[in-house]
Amino acid sequence: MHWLAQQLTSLDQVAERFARAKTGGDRFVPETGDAREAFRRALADLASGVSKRPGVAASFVAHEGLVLATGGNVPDFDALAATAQVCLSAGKAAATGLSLGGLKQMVLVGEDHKLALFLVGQMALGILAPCDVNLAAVLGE
Amino acid sequence: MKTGAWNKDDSRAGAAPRPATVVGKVDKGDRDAYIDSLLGGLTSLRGVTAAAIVDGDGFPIRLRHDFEIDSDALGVVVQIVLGSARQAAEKVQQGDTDLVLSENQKGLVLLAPLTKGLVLVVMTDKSAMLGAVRFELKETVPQVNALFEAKD
Repeated sequence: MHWLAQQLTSLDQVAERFARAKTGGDRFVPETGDAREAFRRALADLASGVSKRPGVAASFVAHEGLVLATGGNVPDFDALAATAQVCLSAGKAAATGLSLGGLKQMVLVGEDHKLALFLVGQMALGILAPCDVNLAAVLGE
Repeated sequence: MKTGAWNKDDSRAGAAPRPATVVGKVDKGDRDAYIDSLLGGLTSLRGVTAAAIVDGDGFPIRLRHDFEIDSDALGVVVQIVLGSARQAAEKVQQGDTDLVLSENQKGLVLLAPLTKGLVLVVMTDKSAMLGAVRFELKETVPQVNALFEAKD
């Protein structure tokens, strides 16, 4: 199975457990804390795991344009997270307008680097790599 | 009351669903333990140095912190920052204040109003990731409110 798809499937399962743990409405559910921590840890593991793939410069998970987890090292994760929010918002609107179905991913390609963005529930996963890296191969194997 | 939600330990394939515990009534000891655990969730985040619940008069009623903190100063922060934010929001007709963020030279202070005039305060150093702290705070607020609203 595709490596990244496998990671995202695992994350979906953790996210689903977290969502289910929140079903107490306006009542306190003790298990929610554990489920939230597991979800947070899964996001951190994903960012870290992706950044360790060969050729990947950095990876991050963002929520509403703010950095939630990072892997690798770039000067400004805040700017990347904000960019992800702007691009994905525009992409969602375009996908809706063009009847493409729910937006799943976008890629920004510059002369030196490219930024791949994935929507994972309410989170955005960003992957930064030099232009000559074949991300499909790097994240698939 | 019970729900059909799965517990964390039931992640193994084929495990029977175990309902989550939903607390509608809680005694004071349990409540304090639960609140400590929620504040602990916040302080476990990278860069978070303190998390506290402060009453309307600025007195901390629960506090988790990594190092010595001036609890009087905490009360003053809440009164000044939250008071100013609420006035500002009123002036521009933006409704109730849900979250206040003060970004400072050495870290962040986040304030989230709770039920019954209480305020959740989170302090961080520069290493904190704002998205993580904000996400955790937003998830924690309804849980803390539920505990304070639960009958004794």
